[in-house]
Parts: sequence; C-alpha cells; structure tokens
Amino acid sequence: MRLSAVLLFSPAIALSIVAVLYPLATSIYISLHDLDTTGSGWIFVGLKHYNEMLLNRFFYQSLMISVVYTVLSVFSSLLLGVLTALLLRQLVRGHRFVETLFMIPLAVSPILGGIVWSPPAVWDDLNSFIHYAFRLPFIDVTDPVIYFPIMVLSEAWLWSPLFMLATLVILEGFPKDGLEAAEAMGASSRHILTMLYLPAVFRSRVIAMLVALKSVDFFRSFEIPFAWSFWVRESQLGAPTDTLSLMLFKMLLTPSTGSGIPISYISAVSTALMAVSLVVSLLIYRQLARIWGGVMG
Amino acid sequence: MVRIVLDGVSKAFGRTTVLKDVSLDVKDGEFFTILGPSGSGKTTILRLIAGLEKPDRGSIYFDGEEVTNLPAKDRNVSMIFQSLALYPHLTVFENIAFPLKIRKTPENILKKTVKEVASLLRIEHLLNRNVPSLSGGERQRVAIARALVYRPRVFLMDEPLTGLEPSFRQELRQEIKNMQRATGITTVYVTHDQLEAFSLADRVALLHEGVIQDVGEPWQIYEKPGNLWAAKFVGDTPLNLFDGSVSTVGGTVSVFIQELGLHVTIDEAIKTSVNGYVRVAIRPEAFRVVEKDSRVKGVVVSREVLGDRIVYIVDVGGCKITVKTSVDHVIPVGERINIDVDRARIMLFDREGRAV
Repeated sequence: MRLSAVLLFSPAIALSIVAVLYPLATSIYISLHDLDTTGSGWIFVGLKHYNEMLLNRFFYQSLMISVVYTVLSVFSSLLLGVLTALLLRQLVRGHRFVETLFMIPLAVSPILGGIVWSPPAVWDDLNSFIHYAFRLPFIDVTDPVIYFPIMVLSEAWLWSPLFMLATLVILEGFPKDGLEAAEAMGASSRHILTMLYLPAVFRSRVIAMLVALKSVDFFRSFEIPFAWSFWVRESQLGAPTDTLSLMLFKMLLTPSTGSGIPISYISAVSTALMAVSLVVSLLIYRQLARIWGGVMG
Repeated sequence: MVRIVLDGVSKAFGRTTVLKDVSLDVKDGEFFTILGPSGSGKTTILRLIAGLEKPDRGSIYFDGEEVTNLPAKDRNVSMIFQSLALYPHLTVFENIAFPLKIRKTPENILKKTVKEVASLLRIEHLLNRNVPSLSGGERQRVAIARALVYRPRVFLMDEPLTGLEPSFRQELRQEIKNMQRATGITTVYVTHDQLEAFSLADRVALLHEGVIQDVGEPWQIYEKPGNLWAAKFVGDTPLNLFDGSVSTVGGTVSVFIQELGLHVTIDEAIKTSVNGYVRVAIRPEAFRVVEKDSRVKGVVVSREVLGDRIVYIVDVGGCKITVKTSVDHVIPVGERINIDVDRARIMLFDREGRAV
C-alpha cells in the first residue's frame, strides 16, 4: 500500500483502535482474569468466568427471555409495519402527513418506548377506560403474562415505522405495468395484495436485512425491559423482565458477596453476548437471503 | 375465440386526442396487427380492448356483446406489454402460474398446465429460476407462456419483440405465429415494424395520428394501399411519385406521366372521379431493367447494394427515379439503361390522397 494511502487512513484506523478494539480487547482480557483484592492487579483465571456463566441459572433464564423477546418483537414489528404501510396506501389524501406522524416513534429515545405504554402513562388510563366502559375487572399489569406482551408491543411501536418505510418503498417501486398486466389477467385487488404485494415485501432483501438487524438489536434489548422492571417492581435478578442486557446491568447494581462488583463475570457474559449476536445476525441474514433472496437474485 | 369490434371509438388524454373515430372488425381467430409510427395511438387501442382504458366515445364488442364498460379483469383477455411486465420477485413457475392461481385452479392441474405450456415454449428447465437471471429471449417466452396458460379469449401484444436481436426476433416471430395458429386465439398485435406486422398478420391496420388509414391483408396494404400516406409509409425504399394528367385519346382513357413520357391506360370510371389530375405512385421494384428498347430510358446515377437487392437512382430526362432490382443485374454507375414498368402495380391517388 502506498504511504499516502496509509496516512489518509491512519486517523480512521487510530479511531477504530481507540474506540472499538481497545475496549473490546480490555473486556475480553478482563473476562479471563480476576481482580486481586490484595492489590496486586489482575490474575489470569482462564475460562473460569465463562464456566461460571454456563453454570448460572440466571444466565439461561435471561437467554431464554431474550430469545422469546426477540422473536416476538421482530414478528410484531414486521407485521405492524407492513400493515400500516398497506393501510397508508389506501389513503387518498393526507398520505404524507400520516406517514410522518407514524414515523415519530423512530425519532424518540428507545427509553420512551418503555415509558409511553407504562402504567403511569397510557396504561392506567386505558385500564380505567376498559374497566368503566365495559365493566371488566382491572387488568393486573404486574402479571408477566400481561406485561411481557406489552413490552413486546412497545418495541413494535418503536420499530414498526422502520418496516413500514421499507414496505412503502418496495410497494411504490412495484412496476405499474405489472399491476395492469395482473388486472388484464383477471386479478382483483385482493389477488394483487396476496399474490404480488406481500411476496414482493417478504422476499425483498431490504426486509431480510432489517429483520437480521433488528433481531440482533432486540436480542440486546435494554431500555424497555429496564423501564418495565421499575413499573412492576422487579428489581432482583431472575425476573421475567430480565433480558441478557438487563441481567448484566442488575449484576452491576447488586454486588455479589465478598468480591464487590463481579466485573470479570459481567465481561465474560457481555463478550459471549457479543459473539452470539454476531454469529446469529450473520446466520439470520444468510438464511433469509437464501430463502427470500433466492428469488430476488 | 372471439370477434372484436371497435365502433367509432375516440379517446383523448387531457387535451391530446389520441384516437379519432376508430372502427375495426377483428375476425374470430384472426391474427390482426396494428402498424403505425410511434405516438399514433396503437397502444391505446390495445389498452381499450383490454379494458385498461375506457373510450370517450364509441363502443367495443366481443362477439356482439358490448364490453365497453366491463372491467379488465372480467374480459378474459391477456396482454403482453412492451416491458413484458413479468414479476421479478416471483420465480418463472410462479409467474406462469399467476393467472391460474387467480382462477383457483386445483394444484395438480395447475402444475400440469404450467409444465405443458413451459415445454411448448421450451422453457421447462427455467421454471425454478428467478426472472432477473433470464436472458431477453427467455423472458419473452415466459411472458408468452404466462399469457397463454389460461386460454384467454383474446391475445393482445404490444411490441413484444422490441429490443431483441434481429436474428432472434425472426425466430420468436415464427413461434408467435405458430402459437397463434395452434391455439386459434384472436390476436391483436401492435408494432411499428413493417416486417413484423406483415409477416405475422392475417390482416393489418395502418394507424396514423389516431386515425385508421387502411385495413387489409399485407399484400393489399402494400400493393393497393387505401391512401397516399399508407403507400408512402409501407415499403423500405422511397416511393416514386409523379403528377399525371388524365385524358381521353381515341376512346381510351389514359394517364400521362410527363416525367417518364409514359401513357398508362386506366379504367374509364376513374376519369370522372379525379377531374383531370392524379398522383401516380410507383414502387421502386415495379420498375424493371430490360435489355430491349423501351419508352423509359435513363442513366444510372448511384447504386446501393442492400444484400439481396440493389437500389439504383436513375436519371430519366432530369427526373430522378428509384429502381430496385435483384442482384442478377449489377449495372455500373453511368450506364444507360432501358426501364420497363409493371403497369398493374402503378398506384393512383386523387388530390386528397385517396386511392382511385
């Protein structure tokens, strides 16, 4: 490589080393060591913390919660996004206005997703309304069967606009003569929806990529589970709100006996989480690109 | 199989009139082409027959039954667009099966029918492929397969061969023709390419600026065009045009073409309708170069070899005429030649350009 090229790249390389590689390497380093309480620094312990992790029931529970949370969130965001896009296209007027309105959640901080639909905000009002309007008993929001779906739907509220936008772009790009050909072949608008529009959306690479991206994102989900663990008073480890990220955070706050903050253990779990995220996202994308992209070329 | 009638159909888009009082009668099972320059309204006629547009005035009938306001989806026609309009996100199989699925064809019959049509068009091996990976010719066949698979009443094609290689176009042209013969489906085919229009059609309609100029069998359009515009539009070499004066000499009516010094005997009835003057049009191949002495003599000014034909520009007493011959006579530039005219192929038009 020419020297000028190296010089031009060097700031970017330096930044990557400082901002990405160094913390990453440190985290991996720490995960392989124990902090010596006598003050002599780090002692190498090998895979001890990884071993600990694999023996910890909280880890498995959080892993399960994360997986379920991810699957449900991706599914509902995608479904909601596609649905809103299809409904938006039915609008004759005010298309742009409603579209912008629907996009607002994308601009808010994710923590808001955990607040907007919480008991102090919308939920209590909704609960009261249901109670007085339909004479139904109050819904117990501290029941995981109730609040877990609300958490998932909050994610969908935040992220479905992304899928909506992608769907709108795909549908707007659908060839006009293709629709006329369909009409000439005898297709009704229902046929066009189910046999042309939906396959065009679900087989598009953009959607495949978004699904992969958001799967990883939901897998690391923190803000909404964090907010809900407050609303439903689940501050201890092993609560149904505890995704892997939230579990790590709680461990930071609840020092285990004797050794202070289990920073090495947390590093081990976060390193494992990162590795799993990377591999899973790659696998999901590959798989989707194979199934859906096989047709798209 | 259906007879299509357009009765006084007019269509405007905004302030632009696209079709003016178009009447056509496409016979049951006929291969009918509409030939015209771009912007003449050809595609609009197809779209009206398909039901993708509604005429402003006039009516459309399928087998005597009015369909003017029947939606496209209820007409059971199929249309091949210039762009082919295949679905890029569906496989070849799914593309071809699309119209059958709409018709709720049972899965086993659907599979069988798609395979049959695919083998007819020799694209069976492509069924699992995706559309973007196909070549132009393959896409063409897929589009035809999709249009054929549900046995439509009417087959509409909008310049489907545009953009393909010439050698390949001929092959596909033949296939389209064979396909139409085999199925007997009434077909309306739109093109700006004369060769395509003439080689495919049972009958051709010439369209210019939204007005039907002429309708007839290909040879009729070529040899006996209905008007001067039609005569000029068809053919690949420019028409020879002369002024002719009509007179009666010794009981026989004849046209005198001054530039050629030639008298041509005509029917007496023509005389009364033209009022002494006609436009005379002679196709370059209606001239023959002959050995023996003839009335028309000239000098070869230039020569253009078109492969199987040669086009000469010949100076006949100061007037330049175009003569097209086979390659058996290769005449050097500057040579004096004798020219004969095939009198049966002389075309006459009145002042308004109507054939007489």
